[in-house]
Amino acid sequence: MNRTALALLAIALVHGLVHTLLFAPWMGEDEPWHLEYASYVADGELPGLGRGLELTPDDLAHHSYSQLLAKRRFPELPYDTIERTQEAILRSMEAQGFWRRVDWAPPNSAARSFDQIEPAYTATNQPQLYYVVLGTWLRVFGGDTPEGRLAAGRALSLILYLVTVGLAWLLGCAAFDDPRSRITVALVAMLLPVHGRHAAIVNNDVLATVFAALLLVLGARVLQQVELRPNAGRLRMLAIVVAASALAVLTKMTTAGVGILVGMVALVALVQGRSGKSRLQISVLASLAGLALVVGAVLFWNQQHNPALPRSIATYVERVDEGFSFASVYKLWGRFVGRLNWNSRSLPELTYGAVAIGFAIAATIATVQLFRPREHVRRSVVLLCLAVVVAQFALVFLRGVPEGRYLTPALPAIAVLVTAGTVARWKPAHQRFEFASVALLLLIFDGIYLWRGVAFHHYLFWNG
Amino acid sequence: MKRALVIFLGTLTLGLVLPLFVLQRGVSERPELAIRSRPLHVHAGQLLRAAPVGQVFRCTHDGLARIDVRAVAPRKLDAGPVELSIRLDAADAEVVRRVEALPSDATGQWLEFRFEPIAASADREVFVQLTPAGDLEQHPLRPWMRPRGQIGSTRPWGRALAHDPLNTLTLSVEQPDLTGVAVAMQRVAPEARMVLDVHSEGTGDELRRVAVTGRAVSEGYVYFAFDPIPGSYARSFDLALYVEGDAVPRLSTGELSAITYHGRHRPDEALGGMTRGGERFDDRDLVLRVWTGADLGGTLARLQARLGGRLRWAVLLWLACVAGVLSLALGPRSADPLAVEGSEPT
Repeated sequence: MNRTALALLAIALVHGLVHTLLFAPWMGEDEPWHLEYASYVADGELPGLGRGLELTPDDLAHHSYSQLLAKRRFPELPYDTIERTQEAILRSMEAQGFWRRVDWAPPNSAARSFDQIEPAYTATNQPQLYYVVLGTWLRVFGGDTPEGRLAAGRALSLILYLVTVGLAWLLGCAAFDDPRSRITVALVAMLLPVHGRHAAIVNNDVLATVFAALLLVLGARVLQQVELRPNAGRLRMLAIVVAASALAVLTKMTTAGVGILVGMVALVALVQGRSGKSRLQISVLASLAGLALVVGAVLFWNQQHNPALPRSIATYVERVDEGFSFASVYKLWGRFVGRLNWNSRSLPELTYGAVAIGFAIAATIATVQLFRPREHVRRSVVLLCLAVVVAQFALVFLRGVPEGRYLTPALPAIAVLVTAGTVARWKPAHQRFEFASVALLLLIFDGIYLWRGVAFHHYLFWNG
Repeated sequence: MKRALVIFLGTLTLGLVLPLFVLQRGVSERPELAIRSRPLHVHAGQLLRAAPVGQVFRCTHDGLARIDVRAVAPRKLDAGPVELSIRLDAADAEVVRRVEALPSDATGQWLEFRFEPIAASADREVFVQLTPAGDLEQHPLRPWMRPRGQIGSTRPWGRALAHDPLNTLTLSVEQPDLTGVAVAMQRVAPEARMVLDVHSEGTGDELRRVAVTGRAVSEGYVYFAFDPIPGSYARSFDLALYVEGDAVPRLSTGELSAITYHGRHRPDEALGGMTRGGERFDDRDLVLRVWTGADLGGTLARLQARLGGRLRWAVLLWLACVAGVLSLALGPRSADPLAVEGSEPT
């Protein structure tokens, strides 16, 4: 690892720690649910892979909905353990001032089940991989109290955040030949608040982003191989991409877009350069394998009660309508830029517009630059990143749930686009001003988020 | 040397001045006390001179300078201003500030009452009351209130008026610890008596009975609070409201318009409960914000008190982060800020 990469990781560590220190306990969206899921794994249970128990109305008369959903994922888990786990987390939330900070949560210090915060909501319908990793981590480092486990879980998030920054650096190296552009990619991935907060809270998006970043690096390597070494190791690369995609989707469905796009790149690379019968055979076989993988994934997911998959055409149409509405787009952007306290509160309104303008300009210039060959820019990688960003936005719109964190699998790709539209548009000898400006703007944005957002709303502005 | 100086100054600017600046900008909007819970479902009804609604709270800082009350107004509001009066230490003490504000017809508005700061407001119990201004006996503005519990089942504000003294409602409840019911009333005369019975559906067992008298309300909710019913989750209840005297409930599809509340919430200790006429209720609060003016020192002291030692570490690490990024950003003139070697694409 070279000096620049080490320096970037050191800065990322320090930056991640600032977020970790400032983020109040339980202020990551859905943290109680994520920790509940992982706690069962830490206590020795393994999540089921199938549909789990069928719930009946009679069950609802005796247990709250979220507890039934947890039981469905962990059929062997006694109900009283689920009740105890939820109650312990709720007591911790009360002690740490959860209801002072989250304005939409119905104030109830005496709450005993998660349904008293949000009815019928759970994390246990999420894919298992993150929770197995986190649960194992908590078993070793988490202790027995919710506070101890929360702190340990957040430490794991910090490590995963560092891994993503490292992968973003590698992606930058693949996309650009000049040092300033490469550093810019890592800085954007590091300093965007939506990613900084990943370092500070327990959430499955942080692992999903690692896998998405890994896939992008693999995709970039495939593109490099096509240019540099025709036909060398492409089957092995395709296998690695498929494996990484599977792990990504087993972590969170939001990575599906990156997985499919990079898989297609690896597949095209595999057949390119071959001729005749061999090419046709590989194409057919690989297409069938890919189709089987997608069908298998959908069938598997259908067994998981995952909310990402609509249950009917009508639901799907409703979601699409919702996803493409102006209100939804506005909400999505706001949450991507940064809302506070479980989306209860906002940064100064000007911030959202300013960041939107900045991103729009950078993305437009990056797109235009694709038509202008430049020595230090690998346009195929930038194009891949552009496709990933477009696909990620499309996926979120089609899902109909405007959560900014659903865009984070495309974060390293966004960083590449921002760089291509700013620093990398200049020749390396003329990048100094743009490079310093981008770094400065990122620091100002992050500073506003941390001090006017997190510090202000977590500690100064409480609900009475 | 010059580069080091620029990095040092840049670090100070972005690392210290920026946080202080953005906090200072926010300070001017910082309330001393705020009820931010949403959504809001229950309002206290029109303002009545004979039975003003109000709130008790303890002020923790000197310089009480502004109180905002959240209210809902009818579509066309031309009833003039409303008045807020402030007393210190006791409900019957002399009024120390009296201030008027003109409401608009916007829904969910914050009605702002600004007044000359009360210098010695720290640790004093403050009693505020809202009344129509001037000679008006009644004002259509309705201040929101927040019962100290979690909203459960809701029946919308009904259009029909009840003409019988006995009205009922059967409710399915999806939350445990049923602890109160807010009932929509067209009017309640001061001498009217109301009794709410809560029965278990099916068995008919009476679980709670609450009687209320002497509570004048015009087009607002009356909140009936009682000891929590622990096993209320996934059960149905029959509610029966008997009225004696001039009290008229509103009905939705022939049944009472009502909202259930669950559990007990311990709000900020500074909140002392809502008042109506001479009565004080520790199970609900008016939705309001209290401001004591602002200074950066006070804000930082509060931040320090709530964040503890983590604040110092966060500031130090933020400074280190800014310094690190600036060192890279303001690197040497060569194309490589750290003279990167061996960083060929992998």
